[in-house]
Amino acid sequence: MIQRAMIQKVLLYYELPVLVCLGLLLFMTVFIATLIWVFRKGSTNFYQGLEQLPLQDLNLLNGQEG
Amino acid sequence: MSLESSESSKDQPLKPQLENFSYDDAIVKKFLIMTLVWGAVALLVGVVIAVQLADWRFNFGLPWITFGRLRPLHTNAAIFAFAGNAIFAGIYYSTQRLLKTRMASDLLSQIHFWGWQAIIVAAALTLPLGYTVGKEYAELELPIKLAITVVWVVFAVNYFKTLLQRRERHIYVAIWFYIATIITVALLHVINSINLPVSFWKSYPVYAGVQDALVQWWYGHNAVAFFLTTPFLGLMYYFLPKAAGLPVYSYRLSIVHFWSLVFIYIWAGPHHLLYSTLPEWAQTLGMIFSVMLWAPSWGGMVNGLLTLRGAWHRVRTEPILKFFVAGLTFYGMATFEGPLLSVKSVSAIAHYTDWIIAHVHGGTLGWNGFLIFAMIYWLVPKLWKTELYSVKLAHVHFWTAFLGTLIYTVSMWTAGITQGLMWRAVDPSGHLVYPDFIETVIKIIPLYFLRAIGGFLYLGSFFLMLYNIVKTIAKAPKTKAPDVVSAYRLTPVALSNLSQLGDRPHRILEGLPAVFSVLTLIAVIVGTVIELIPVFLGNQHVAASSSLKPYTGLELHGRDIYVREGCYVCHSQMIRPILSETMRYGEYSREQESIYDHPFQWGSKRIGPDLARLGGKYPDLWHYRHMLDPREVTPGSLMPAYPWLYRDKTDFRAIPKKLKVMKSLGVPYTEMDLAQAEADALSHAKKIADRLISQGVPATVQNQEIIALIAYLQRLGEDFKKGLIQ
Repeated sequence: MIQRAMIQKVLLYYELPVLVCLGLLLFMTVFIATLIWVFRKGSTNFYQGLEQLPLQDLNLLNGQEG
Repeated sequence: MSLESSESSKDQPLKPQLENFSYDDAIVKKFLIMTLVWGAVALLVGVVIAVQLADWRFNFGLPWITFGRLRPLHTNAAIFAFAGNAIFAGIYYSTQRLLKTRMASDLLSQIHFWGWQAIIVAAALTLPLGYTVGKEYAELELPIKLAITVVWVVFAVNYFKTLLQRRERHIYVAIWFYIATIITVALLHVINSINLPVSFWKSYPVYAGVQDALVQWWYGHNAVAFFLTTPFLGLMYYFLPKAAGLPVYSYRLSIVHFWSLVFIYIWAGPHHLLYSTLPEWAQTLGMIFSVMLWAPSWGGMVNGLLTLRGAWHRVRTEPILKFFVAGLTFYGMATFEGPLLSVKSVSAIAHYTDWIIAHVHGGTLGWNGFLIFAMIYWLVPKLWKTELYSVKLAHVHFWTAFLGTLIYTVSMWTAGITQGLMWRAVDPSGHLVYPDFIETVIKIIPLYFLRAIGGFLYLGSFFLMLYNIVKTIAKAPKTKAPDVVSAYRLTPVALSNLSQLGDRPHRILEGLPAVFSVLTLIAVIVGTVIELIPVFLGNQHVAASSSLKPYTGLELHGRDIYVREGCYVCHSQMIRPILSETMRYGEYSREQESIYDHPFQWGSKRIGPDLARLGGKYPDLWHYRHMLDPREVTPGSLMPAYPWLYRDKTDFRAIPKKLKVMKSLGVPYTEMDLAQAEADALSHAKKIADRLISQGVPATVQNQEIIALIAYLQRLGEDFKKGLIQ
């Protein structure tokens, strides 16, 4: 009974900083990994190409403009 | 769909094949037209309920159009019908062109379209009839929820098949946002929709109390995230460059803010539950991640606005760019305000007030609405191969809608802060300055009128757009054959030979949608698991006193009436541990008090006072008179009257089944409770009826629904009073 009450108090009332730290750590890992990913050497030209994708309409075969 | 190879040979090595095909723009047109139809409905219902708050007489004494039943209709129509159809129109158009392929299956596209419209019609019929689960943005009952699941799976299958047969190897960032939407909405919907049926149109969630609250707001906030934000960001990343004729400002920024947004958003749900009985650590997590969310959100805003670098002069003359710029600005405002409101000390003032309504509508009217309008004005001339009927009318639309949005949000900011400060005002002697809740209501009614004016302007401007679009389509040439385009089929690449995709690893990630989809799923699952599971585990250790009894059959039936009438839309049942609040309502709420509540009814708005400690506060006769004519007992009240509760009879035979389902959900009813449920409910009703009849109420009251509702309302907070809650 005492153990149950203690667990209840922990799970309901305490800040559980370990979970907050875990969440922040996971996010920073994702964020830093993403930064490394996008700034890898040689990526500039690649992304410049990707930026143009919406502007590259296919030519229509039946003569009308898209 | 036509697919012809211009060259093929069995003996020659694989080389790219040029294929002719046409896009399915018919489906885009369908979704676009329904966007306009449902937009008119959603906005009209919004104006109606705004007027009802300004003047209660616009409830007209009819059960199907009370504020409590229409508000869910408005939110569902605005989110799933109006924004939903717009999202699908934009996704179908942009995806086909970005992937250089027609949708994989015309049949699945049609099933998706007609299925979605059928769901909307079902919602439009059932919500006013009172068939509701009683959880915000998830009100629809189980049969409709199942239909949503089926239609969403159809959409997902069609979408991923289209990805697999694309002719563009690289997946543009807009597609990433669409994929995140498809995956996460599926997860949210399924987990929050786990209900057990009592009858075809009535079900109870498997979760209760604090668990239900957490699951609901994990769902609710991420419905905002993954239905009203991510797909719209995807649409922005496609349609803004198209409209401006300029590439996005920074593709790198779009990748960084995408992953940050998708990871962080899923944690933010608890900011709806600050100062509630949700465990403190979960509230802190929600708060911290909500504040962090500011950064990736503004990443998207900045990326969009700076896309127009060098073209700002065109904003003056082109209404489409006006809508984009204003939309992105409102997005920035809402995503600054949201993190601010998520800070506990700000939430202490703002929660339950109209400030939250202002925040929501700045986002929906400003960001979602304006982006949809921009997309419509750009798409319609393209699809119907004509010019817009009147650019000037589009400008008038913009300025009218902008003015309407400003009036709406400013009036609600003012109302919200007024409410928040009045509720917590304590004089030097330690008493509430405004002890009667009605004083705080009457004070802000002029602002409710102003809000309705803002809504009228927005609706009126929408009809201007409708007229403009109808005239545009009417003058379009009658083309028959769809456009035919050509593109090279992708050459297959073995998994062992991925270096063929390019000499940089990121091409591998962006060229493999399966890998990308799995990573997105992991990103959203992480926050889900870390927040939800400990709360669920913690619930096992919540000691419910053995003396704490669940609702009686009559009380449970009364609770179902409470949910049916949408009382939770105006009334909360969660007293926060804030001094002025406990002075007004009594002791702050404890977790055990809602432990058997399937669904939880903590509410998120106080148009009327909190009801958590209502039980025993007023005699039965007060409740009888209050529901018949609220203004008789509370002059100045905005509450509608509920005369049908005095006409309709309680179906006592339905009560045993309700208890049985609750028992299967873990509520500790005994077998004797179940066996005697109907008799006990009749006996309970007779006690209440006899008291009322002795005070002059007509004898016909005995089996009327009002008795059940009184039974429920008189139970609220009684367990705490009796010392049954620790």
